[in-house]
Amino acid sequence: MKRVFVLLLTLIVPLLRAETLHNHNGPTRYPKIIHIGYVLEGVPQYQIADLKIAFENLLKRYAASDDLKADIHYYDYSKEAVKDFMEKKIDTISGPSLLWAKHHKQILPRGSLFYIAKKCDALYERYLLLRNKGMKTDKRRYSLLLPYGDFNAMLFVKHDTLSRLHTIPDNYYRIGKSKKASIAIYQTFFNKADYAVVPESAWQIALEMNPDIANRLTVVSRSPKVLFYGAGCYANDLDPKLLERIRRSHAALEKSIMGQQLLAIIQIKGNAEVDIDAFTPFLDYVNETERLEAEWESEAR
Amino acid sequence: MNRRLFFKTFVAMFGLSFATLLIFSYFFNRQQERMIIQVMEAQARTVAQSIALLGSDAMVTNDQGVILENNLNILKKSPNIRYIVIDPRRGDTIVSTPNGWRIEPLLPRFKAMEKPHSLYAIFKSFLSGGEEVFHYVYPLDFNGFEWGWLHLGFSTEQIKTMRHLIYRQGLMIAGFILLMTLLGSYIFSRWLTIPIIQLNNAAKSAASGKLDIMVQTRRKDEIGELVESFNRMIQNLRDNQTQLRTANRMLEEKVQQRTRELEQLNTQLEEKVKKEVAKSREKDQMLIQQSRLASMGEMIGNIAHQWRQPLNALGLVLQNIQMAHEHGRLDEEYLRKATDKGMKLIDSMSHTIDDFRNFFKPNKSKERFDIAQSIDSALEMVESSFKNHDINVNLQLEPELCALGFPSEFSQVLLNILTNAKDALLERNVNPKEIWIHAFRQNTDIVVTIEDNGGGIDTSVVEKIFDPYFTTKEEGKGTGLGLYMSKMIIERSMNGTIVADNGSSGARFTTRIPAETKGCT
Repeated sequence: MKRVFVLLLTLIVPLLRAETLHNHNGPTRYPKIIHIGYVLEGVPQYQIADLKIAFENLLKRYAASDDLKADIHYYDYSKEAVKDFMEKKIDTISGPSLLWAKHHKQILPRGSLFYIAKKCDALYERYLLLRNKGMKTDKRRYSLLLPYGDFNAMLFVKHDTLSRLHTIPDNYYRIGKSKKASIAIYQTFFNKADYAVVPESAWQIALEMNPDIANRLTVVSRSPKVLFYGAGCYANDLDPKLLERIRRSHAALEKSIMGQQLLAIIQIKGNAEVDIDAFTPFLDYVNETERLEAEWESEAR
Repeated sequence: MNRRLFFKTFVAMFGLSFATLLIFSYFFNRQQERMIIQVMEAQARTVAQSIALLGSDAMVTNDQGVILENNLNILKKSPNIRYIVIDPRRGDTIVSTPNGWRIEPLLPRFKAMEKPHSLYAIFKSFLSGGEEVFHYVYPLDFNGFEWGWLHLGFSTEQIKTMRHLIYRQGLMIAGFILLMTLLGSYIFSRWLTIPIIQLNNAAKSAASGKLDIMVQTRRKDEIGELVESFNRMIQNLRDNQTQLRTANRMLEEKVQQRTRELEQLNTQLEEKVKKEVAKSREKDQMLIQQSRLASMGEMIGNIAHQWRQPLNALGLVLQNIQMAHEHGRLDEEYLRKATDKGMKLIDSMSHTIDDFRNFFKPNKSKERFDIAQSIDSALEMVESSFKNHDINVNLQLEPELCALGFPSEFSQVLLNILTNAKDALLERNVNPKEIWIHAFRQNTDIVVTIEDNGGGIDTSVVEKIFDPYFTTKEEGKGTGLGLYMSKMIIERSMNGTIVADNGSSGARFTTRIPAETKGCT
């Protein structure tokens, strides 16, 4: 759910920016409708309905408060969204880290005004591999729980298994999905699984809720702190004035009452405008994982 | 304006309404308290059912991680829930609070509340940091499978808030009702009592004589009728007063006229009374004169009796002198003796006249006197007459009987009674002729009774014998004034009484006069 809100925020930002444009530049009217593209690939199915409802409500609110109109288009597959973005059918594209891992080569050159959703003060997130201390160690495969639809978790599992165990995850784990990271931790705690991969922030929260967890679970492995939940960008051929106004309104988001309420609901700190280079560590990690996977496959053959 | 009735009515109305309000508020608050608890219970049941529904799959599969996550989410979204405890029949008890969760044995107090049906209680729990909670226990039963129990701890802030809200609303309503009651009581009391107070004041004015008043009212009820009746009554009183004044004026005129007539009559009456009094005095004078004349006759008769014997003796002396002279025995010695004897007789007769004159000489002032001497003095007057008629007098006198008054008059009274007794004895020719005189002291009085054996007084006339001119004697023998004068003397001059009745054999006269305590000297 948190991820949904993070993604939601990446969409809302441009709306809020457009909404607040006239606050900075007088009563200028923008006859152009901003077309928003949102990629659902990588978003858990059970979250999509809630996500759409939230978007509809936000758009209605937005439309009622300003003459600058916007519409939104959901994409089940990131490939279609990227295609429309490249063909200028949509002015902005947002989506989970999967979108950026798969299509960064097309999006990044076409984009401008990049932003990353922050879950905590830090821009990036670290993932941990947890192990149940009481698990049986003579198993052929060990059960592993991942947060449902979490690309970062899967990416880390692949990288960790390939680099540390020199095999692919399916050979070592029976991978299961938990609805949330916290549930994955609790289920591992209650012996429903041998391992769990969760964001470090979720682990910290779980420890705060019950320090005794550390007596049963141990951190086996840590990812580099290069992962993020989601990101978005605007097309680089938009009016520079409009982009400038979007940037200013982006800064004003966290100060506005509506923006504060929204951030509180989705439980993220906010959106950080980043340079294009900010994607590099993540993309490097993705590339390295792909390389390791390719190496293992070649060795396996 | 005296408004005690108004204030009493107002206080009674307001007090009654206020007491009713208090009682109503008490029961209303109790009902509200129950309602709050019922609301809390319903809310707790809803949350419990939601938790059971949300976690039913996880519970059936014993997925404690999902159960825990659900509970923590609920705790996060429901700030009024202080803790959620999942106590499965098999497995660990999970205690979740907004600050964390842990696995620990269930408290005995909680365990005791685990029944087949839901239960609630309000107490302070350490799970909520000592805060008072509404603890709700819900059995987790899935299609007959008793999985365990759910314990929910709700903050009682909601109860307190609702209670506060109810109290505040209740206070506002009570305040409003109080104001309305005050206003209503004031209006009702005024409506009810003002006409009565006006009537009372008008009645007071009417009572003090001011009848130029009218009570105004628009009421058509009984009070309105009362006011109307009062006004009519005042109008009638006014009319009556006017009529009364007119009648009074006429009456006064008549009274004045009558008074004048009466004064005239009174003047005439006074003159008549004076004339009558003068006549009465004249009559009395005549009576007295007649009485004196009678007494004088009596005196002369008595003197005649007294003189009869000495006159005979004197005649014999003179005859003896003549015979002595004829027989030659009249010498000097004989003449001297006869002369001495005749002179003695003449002195005796002269002395008799002095005695009678003194006896009838009236006393000028009251003096102490001896009753026995007065009796003796009276008897001396009649002694010769009584001897002549063989009337025997029996005396029984107590010594030292003294009285204050007029002794001569008292002797006259006795003499009258004795003379009447003599006349009665002679008239009826009784033999022997007896008179009993008894004088004695009785309390502060001296009583003298004179009784004869002459047959008594006819009872038909006994009440008249003291009337003037009443006599039973033959015509020419009695004046009818003796007893009348005796009664006057005893009653008017000596403050006594005299009565007559019949004794055993004759008339009995009883005189009673005050005794003198200082003695006769």
